This record gives sequence, structure tokens and C-alpha cells, in this order.
Amino acid sequence: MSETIKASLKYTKEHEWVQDMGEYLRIGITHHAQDQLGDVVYLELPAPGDRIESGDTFGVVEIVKAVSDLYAPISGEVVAINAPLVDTPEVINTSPYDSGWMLEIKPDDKNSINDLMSAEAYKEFVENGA
Amino acid sequence: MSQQTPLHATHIAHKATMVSFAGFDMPVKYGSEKEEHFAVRNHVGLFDVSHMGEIVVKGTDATRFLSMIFPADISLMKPGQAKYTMLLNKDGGIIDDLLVYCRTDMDYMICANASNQERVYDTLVNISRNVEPLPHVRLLNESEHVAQVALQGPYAAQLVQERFDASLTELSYYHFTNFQWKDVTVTASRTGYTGEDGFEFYMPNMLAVDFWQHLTKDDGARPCGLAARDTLRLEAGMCLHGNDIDAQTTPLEAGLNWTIDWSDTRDFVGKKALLAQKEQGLEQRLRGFEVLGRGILRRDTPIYNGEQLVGRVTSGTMSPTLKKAIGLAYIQVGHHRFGTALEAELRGRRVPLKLCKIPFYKR
Repeated sequence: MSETIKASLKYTKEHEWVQDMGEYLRIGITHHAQDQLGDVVYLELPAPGDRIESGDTFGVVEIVKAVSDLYAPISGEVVAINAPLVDTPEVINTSPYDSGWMLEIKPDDKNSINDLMSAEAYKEFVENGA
Repeated sequence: MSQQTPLHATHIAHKATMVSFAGFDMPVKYGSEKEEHFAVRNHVGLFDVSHMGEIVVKGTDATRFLSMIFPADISLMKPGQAKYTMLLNKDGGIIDDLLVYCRTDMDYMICANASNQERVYDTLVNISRNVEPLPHVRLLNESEHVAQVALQGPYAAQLVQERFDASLTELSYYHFTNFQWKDVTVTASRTGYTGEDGFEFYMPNMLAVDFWQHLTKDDGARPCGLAARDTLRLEAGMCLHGNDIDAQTTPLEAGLNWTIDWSDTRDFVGKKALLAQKEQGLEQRLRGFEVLGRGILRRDTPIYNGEQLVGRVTSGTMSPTLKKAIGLAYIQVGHHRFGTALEAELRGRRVPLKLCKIPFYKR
């Protein structure tokens, strides 16, 4: 069982997390997001080299009954994707913060990470029924 | 405001995720829909299907009345038999697909889809008032008073034996019988919507909670929601009214010809239109498909042969059993042969697929 919210990460209102890796940022969806979704059966991600734009969709996760868009928390260029995850998307349910990471991007402006929610703020956001 | 089944509080207590479906607040899953799916394939699961409608047709003319309406010849049914058939409109479109239970030749019960039960009832009432001579029939919509649960899976019969001391092992497929539990009559029908062995139980509302708990307690049947029901029925190649069949599609297009009795001596509602469609030839056919590329093709996804639009998806999912994306689609005749390679358009790209025979899964 993974932690529900990790103190070291930044969060968005779309229930994505962002991890500061130095030059790059790593992106995934939160425990709360996977819990609300249920069994993930399909994942679609951009390719390395693609650009993602803050607020735009960069991929989809699907469960049996629904398709959900993934929203880019920050603009930048995709430098890596978690390729094995595409073939085993159920890992998002069991390890949303570790093996379930989705993308690494080179951000246009790394400082924009400061605009995202802290773990504390995200916890409050979730508890308020978001 | 959504309606509630008698099991609503039980679902909430078991932390079900509830969704609005056919006007009812229904459990879509209790935990993992994938585990619920496999519980039915490998062991046994229990579904609340109390949203379904039950319409009773009684009277000395009940057999004659139903025989002039349904594409299946109801007059050939024996007491204790169940039959899958449809109520068609004059154009041959499917108002609903349903089960007809013959209790006696003067007493039938029809199980209709939740969202269509009123239409089915109204249509039957209308017909009964407009045929000469007026038939001696009484139509009762008992939907609000009848609860229904579906016990499905290879261990269904064993669990019934164990929990109710009622042996239903000998009950044939598409037959039903009654048994007593807590001095209440329960109807057990060897039918289902999952592709597995199992039973659909009909009972008065007040018995439903006890019945459900008696089957699920002590590691009995696993409660299953609508999500698993949908993947199970699709793997079994069964149509969902509102998706794969509707008032604009005919049983010929849907591949349900096998349910129709064509004998010259008998008319049924929609027969003339279906004969004309047979004569002219079909324009589209319902087909199973398997996605060869990446992607789940949902309802209304367009399907192409090269640049030509040749079809649309009616149901699509990721099959937990086959671990492949599968679905059903109406395909223009000429492009509908099994094995035909086509492409769907999904989020701006082309996804290859192959038409295949249904069911996708056979027990």
C-alpha cells in the first residue's frame, strides 16, 4: 500500500503530482486519482520529444467505464516516458508515485513548479471533496 | 431523483460506488471491477438487477395475445420455460429485448430492461385494446414490487444447494422453477447475462436484503457491479439495448435472426418490415471486432475502410479475460466479412481492427 500523499511532491487540482528531479520534472497521477478511477486498463502517453503545454491534455487513462484526460501541470518537452507502464497500466493502481510514474519533462520555466500545491495544500483540497 | 432498489442501503453499507443507470441509483462496483469480473468467470458473483422490469400477462387469451406480438412463437412454450425474444415496432426496430417466462398458458411474466419497461407495458396495453376480437388478458406492471438478483459463475448451483438446500443442478438452461425460503416464494431462472452458468432470482422486495446477505456472507458470492456486468456480457457477445440494439436497428441487422419464428401461419409485430428488409438485403450488420493496435474503442467511434466511413462502434471495452480491446459495431454490408481488416479513428489517429465472430468468450 503506497502513501496516499507524499510530502516531497507538488500537486495539481487535476490530481497529478510533480517531482523535482533537478533538471527534469517527473509527472504522474496521485493515489487519490487512481483510487477514484478504479482499475486502470489503458494508458496513452506522448512520445519523447513531444511538447506538453500547461493545462492541455497530454494523454489518457481509461478504466472499464470511462476515459479520463491527463492534464499537463507545467509546459515543457517530454524527455522520457515510462514505457513499461503503457503495457502494464494497472501498476498505476498499486504504485502511483513510484513504478507508476508517467513522464519526465524538461520544463520551460522550472520556477513554475512553485505555482503548484504543496502536499499540505493538496491534502486539504482532497479532504474538501475535490 | 434516481429510484432505489430494495438493496440500495446494502450497497451503500458495502461501500459500493453508485452511478445513475436507467433512472436508478445502481452499484457500478464495490472494489475492483476486474476482480468482480474474474469472481464471476472463476467462482461466483451476485448482481442486483432489481432495476429490471417485470410485467405479468394473465388471462385465457394470454398465449394467443403474446403469440401475435413476439417474434418467438410463444404458443410453443411449456410451463417452466423461459424464452429470449424482442418487442418490435412496426418498422422492425427493437423497442426492447426481453425474457418471457411461461408459468401456465394463462400466466406469463416478461422481464424487460429498466429503461424500457414502461414503454413495453404501454405498447402491450395499446395492442390489447386495438385488436379484434378484444383478448381476455390482464396486464400488470409489477416492476416496483419485484426484486431481482443474478447469481452467476461456475459455482452458482453449488452455492444455492449449500445456502438454500434447494437443488437447482437439474434445472435446464432457459428454464425456471420456484422454491420457498422463509415462507416466501422465490423464482429461480437458469439464465444470465455473463456467459457463465447461473441463476436469476425473482422475489418480493421485502425478501431481497436477507436473500442477498444469505448468498454473500461467509465467503459466498462476491457482490458485483454494473462495470463487471458490462465486460462479462460483452465478452459473451450479448447485446445491450440502447447501445447495440435500439428502435432504429432490427434483429436481422443485429444477428438475432435465430430468435425469430418465421412460420407462414403466424404474424407478429414488425414481421412485414423484417420480410421487406430480408427481400431488399441488409445495409448494415452487427459485428464483433478485436483491436489490433492500441486503444479502447468506445461507443460511436467511427470505423473506416481506407477513406470510406463504413461503421460505428456500439460497445467497446478492454476484455479482462482476453486482455484485448474488443467491441461490437455496425458495419456496412460489403465490408462486414469476418476477418476484414478495418481502421477506427481515435483521437486523431487510425487504430487497426479486425472483424471477428462473437462470442469472444465461451465457457
